[in-house]
Amino acid sequence: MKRICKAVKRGLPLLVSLTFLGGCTAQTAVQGGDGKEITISVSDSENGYIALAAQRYQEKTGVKVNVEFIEESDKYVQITTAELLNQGGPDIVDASALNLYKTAEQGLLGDLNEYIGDKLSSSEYYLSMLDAYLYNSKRYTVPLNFNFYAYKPVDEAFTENGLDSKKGITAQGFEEIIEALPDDGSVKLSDGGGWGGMSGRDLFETLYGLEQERFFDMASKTVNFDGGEFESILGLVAKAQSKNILYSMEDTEDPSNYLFEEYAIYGPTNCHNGTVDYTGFDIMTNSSGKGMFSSNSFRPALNAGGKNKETAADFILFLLSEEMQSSPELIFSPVNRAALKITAKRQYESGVAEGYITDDFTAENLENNIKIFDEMSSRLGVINYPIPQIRSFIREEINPYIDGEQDAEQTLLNLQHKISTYVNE
Amino acid sequence: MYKKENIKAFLLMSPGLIGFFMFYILPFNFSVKYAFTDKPVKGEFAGFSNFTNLFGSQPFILGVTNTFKMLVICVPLSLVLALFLGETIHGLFKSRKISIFFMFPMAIPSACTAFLFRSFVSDNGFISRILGVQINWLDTERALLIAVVIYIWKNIGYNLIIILAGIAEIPVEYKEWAAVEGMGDIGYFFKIELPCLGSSIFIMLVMSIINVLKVFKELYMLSGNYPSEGIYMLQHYMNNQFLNMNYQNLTAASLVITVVTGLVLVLASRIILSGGEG
Repeated sequence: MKRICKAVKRGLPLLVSLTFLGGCTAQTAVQGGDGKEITISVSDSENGYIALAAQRYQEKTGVKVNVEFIEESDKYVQITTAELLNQGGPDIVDASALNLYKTAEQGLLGDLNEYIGDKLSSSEYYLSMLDAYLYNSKRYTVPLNFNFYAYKPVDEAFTENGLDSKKGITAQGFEEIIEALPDDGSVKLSDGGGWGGMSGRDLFETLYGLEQERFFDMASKTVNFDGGEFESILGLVAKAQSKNILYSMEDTEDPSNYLFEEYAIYGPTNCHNGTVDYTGFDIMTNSSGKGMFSSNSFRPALNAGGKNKETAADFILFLLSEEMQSSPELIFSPVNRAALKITAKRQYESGVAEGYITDDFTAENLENNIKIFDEMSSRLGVINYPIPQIRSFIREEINPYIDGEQDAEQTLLNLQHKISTYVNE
Repeated sequence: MYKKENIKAFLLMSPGLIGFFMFYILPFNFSVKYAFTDKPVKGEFAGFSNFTNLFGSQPFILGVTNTFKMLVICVPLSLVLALFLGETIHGLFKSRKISIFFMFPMAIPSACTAFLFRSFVSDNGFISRILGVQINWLDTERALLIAVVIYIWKNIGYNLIIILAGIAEIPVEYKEWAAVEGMGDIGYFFKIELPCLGSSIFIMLVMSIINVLKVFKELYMLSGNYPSEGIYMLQHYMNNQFLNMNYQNLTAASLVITVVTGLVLVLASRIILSGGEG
């Protein structure tokens, strides 16, 4: 027994050292070369756009595109990150489901600029939206579509309250607007656009969302919620609530007097109110003149360990092409400018044929809408809540503030701690 | 015959040794590799930069500070309480069965513990209602106190069992001799009983340190991955590094903790166990 113990005592350190050396030097051989087959994984039960693109790309180039659909987003994240960490997995992953910035920081995603950066121009695409996803000057993903909110000032309401509707709608300008409105609740900020109003939360998310770049930056690891600016947004929301100028789902009557009509815009002929004339519409902009947009469906990203990066990047460029972006399978609006016009005209013609676009919306209205939509889209450049974890922090802390259960100081201290910890980890 | 016994012994030990090697030594060695590379995949040798980044990382420093505060408060407190309860139970009761009541919290799953404490400390919880306020106490400066209470409540039974077992092992003759020598109860406790409990105290110390680190489970269930500043522990930092695939920071942190904890335990064993032998 003593001999065994001695042998174990002597042998174990040697064994440990050998495995240490083995662990340090172990590397997985990566085979290179772009082939005739790529794989793309999507966090969804199905995606007609990707399926169609796979089919058309194969017909054009002879490259087979295998599409894997993984419905549950948690399962998608687990499977995909494990594959990425093992230098395996699909050539293209779904960045909308992954923790994009943290995944990119670990070198698991490829830079699209290396392959297609020179092919992305502002004449062909709404480049400000594509560039909104740049991180540390690298392009890890691109949006394929977008939607946004627009507002139409009610000129009479502006004039009655001593405001100038021609000034444009800015996050900074809201302070003047809120100050000017009466305290008796006779005028509301917006008609709510049919979505249940502009509540305190909606107002906060709009004002914060537009200016979020002032409060944190993932690249430089700076967080600034405890400065004065965030507190002033909280103060504005509190003031708007106290002046009873917000309209929420709990209100029993529709507002009869409001400053803005609010619209969720999906395309030149397509907003949640139906098909309307966009004359007088405008987006709300931040201090840099940029508006906010959402792009929550599939967003392609390159697997840095993939064997067919060049082909995969070419497929992503195909997803952005006029041919694909003008197909009916793409929901919301395309980021390809030429495709936008084709889509708008197709939707107009089918709307007229099916009867939901009536005679009072003419082809001339359509051209006007396309022009206004194109102009508004060119100014969109702020992503609505780009980081889900930070959105979760914000909502956790803002909800008690809006409900009067937590004061502004505690709210911004909690946010400063949580977001600073997340950004700096 | 001797050789046969050796072979038998080795065969009996081998499953444990193989398991220890495969599930502790091997992964630990692979993790050391991550601590010295710059990326989890195709990483290049990064020297000690992960360690220097670690000590410059505000979340790591916060986690270490809070964990250190928990250790400094909870470990001595639980030792003292266990000793006090052990002496009381040993002195007052013939049977040690009463100690079972102190073991109940250990048997309760962490999720139930979290649920129980949430009912006390949330903004609509028992404490807020009594005081007529609406405060989530886990978001206040008292969050660490709540973590200490959770720890003590859950782990006092374990330490008590160890202490009672240690007290039971002290020969009765020592007490009789102390009485003959005119040594009072306090003198007997400090000069005879405490040194004899050296091994038990050392075990309690080791287990207390481990259990302080394990209180993360309840805190995670109460406050998620990013709790308030007062209860953001080292385990939160490491858990988040894992979720963010930052294996370099995770393994660098775990190496640092392994070394520091090892040094503390070696020091403690020399002080406590050698004192016991005296």
